Amino acid sequence: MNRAGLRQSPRMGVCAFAIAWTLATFAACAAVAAPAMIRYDHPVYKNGKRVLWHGAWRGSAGRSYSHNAPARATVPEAPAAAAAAAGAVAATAAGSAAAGAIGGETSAPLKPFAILADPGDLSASRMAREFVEVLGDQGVQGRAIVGSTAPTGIARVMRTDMADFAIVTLDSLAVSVKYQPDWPKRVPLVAPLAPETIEVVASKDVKSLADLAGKSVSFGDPDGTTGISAKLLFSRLGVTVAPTYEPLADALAALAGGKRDAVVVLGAREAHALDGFGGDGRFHLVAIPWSPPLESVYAPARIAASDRPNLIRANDTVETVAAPMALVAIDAPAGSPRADALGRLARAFFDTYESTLTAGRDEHWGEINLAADAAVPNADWPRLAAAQGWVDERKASANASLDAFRATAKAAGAGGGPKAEDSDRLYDSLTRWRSLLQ
Amino acid sequence: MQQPVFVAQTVAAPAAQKAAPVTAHALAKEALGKLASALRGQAADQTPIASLDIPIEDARHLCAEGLIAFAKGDIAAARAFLKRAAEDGDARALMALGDTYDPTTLSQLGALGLKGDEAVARSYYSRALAAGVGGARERIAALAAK
Repeated sequence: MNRAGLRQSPRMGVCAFAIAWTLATFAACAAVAAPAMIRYDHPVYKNGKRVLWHGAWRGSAGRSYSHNAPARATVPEAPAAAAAAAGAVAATAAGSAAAGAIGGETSAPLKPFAILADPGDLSASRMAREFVEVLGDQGVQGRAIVGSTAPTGIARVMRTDMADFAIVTLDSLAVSVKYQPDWPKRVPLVAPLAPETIEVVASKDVKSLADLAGKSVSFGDPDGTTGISAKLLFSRLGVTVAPTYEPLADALAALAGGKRDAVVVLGAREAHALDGFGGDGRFHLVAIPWSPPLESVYAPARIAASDRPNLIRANDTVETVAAPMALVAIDAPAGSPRADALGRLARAFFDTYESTLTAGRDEHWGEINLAADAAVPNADWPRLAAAQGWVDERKASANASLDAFRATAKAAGAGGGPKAEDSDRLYDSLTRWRSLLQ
Repeated sequence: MQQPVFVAQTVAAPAAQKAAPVTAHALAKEALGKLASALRGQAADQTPIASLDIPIEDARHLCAEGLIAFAKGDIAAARAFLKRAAEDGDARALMALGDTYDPTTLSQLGALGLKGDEAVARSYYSRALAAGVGGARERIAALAAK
């Protein structure tokens, strides 16, 4: 599916689903009088106004009405829903395993879901599509939708209940803590993803990023996550530019026409607009050399001429940086029914993770260690409980020398990052652990 | 602990990969490297150093970042940092890079999802061996014995 395909009216589907869900829920509430009350797991809108927020209580118990209501509508509230529901047939092994692990019962179908990827980050869009495909093979319905994953975009998605998961850059998520102090709780991490490279395309006259001071630089889609990452990157490097915001194709056209001095691109592995750009040899990728202000957020990266034949001299490479990425669950505070429902989807995905590693899928899946903690820079950000539980269940047996290596790393990483001499202790510690394995 | 192996010629291997452009920065690095070698030479009997070409500050710093990421299980970032450290002349990073691809190391680390790649691991260990890093021979042998 291409980018245009992704854009096909996600809102319609969401509306239809929301209406069906609401109707079924109210019908179910009327049908069964229950002694307990359960929380709404997402806001309820009426005529565009929010009438109920998460804290509201509904006068019925999901767990008791779930036996009578259609499975599709009740599964979010009741992981242990009726097994006989029509959708249960579709939930295959992974789905039932995930349900069994949490609900203690089998065959509960997983809720259809939506995963959000930023329009400016085409690699994220591809991973979102593949996430949907992998769960689709397990009989779980889902859609990849395109929308801003910058903090403002995530906030919008939360208000409108547009998506359940999102692929985000962690540098931009870190910015949100200042304005949204409750987000670490409401937007828990699910899995780390491989870092995305940031590329700066400019005319060959631009020798370094410093040459861009005061110049017009395109930061990607208005309100997109590329803009946040680019802003952070330039501010960390102490270069002040005049940002403009437009989609990549427009930005490249403006660059070619001399109206922009540079274009910042995130996740350009899949940006085919960039593949065909610069055939006339006027442009190149500006190097972002590794420097201390970049650490604790970015990782160093390198792009080879074979990846960007039009923008890098033959046999040469260009240094750049990569922004940390992660899959997050949207609006799933610990203990909420929604966290349960999304947790089951996350576990189903992890259970079937092997199939992301097959040929034809994004090779970045093969670089992801699901056991690693995705770390939001400078913030204490929890992981979705079910995802953490999945990892914990598979924890390797305790190993004193590995623990010592980890402790050394933790000590070296604390307080302003590691120093050069820390590498000696770290390397010795790695060697000690490693030599015991042979 | 492995014995320090001092090799006079082969240590240039990782650096040669890059066909280093001679810039003012590179020259400064070279001077720093020499200074670092001179300073570290006195302490060589206490701290086992893998190669004669004592890695300069930047490379060792990147190596430390890479090893911290590795210990956290962030393999993608670890590889990125260690590659850069190896390019900048820290031969130990080649060994650690081998570990980030070695299926044995990854499974003992408790990595889930990603698979190692024995061929890539072997090639990094071989480069580490060529650069005179202690212990590389054993890792290659362990891979072959699997």
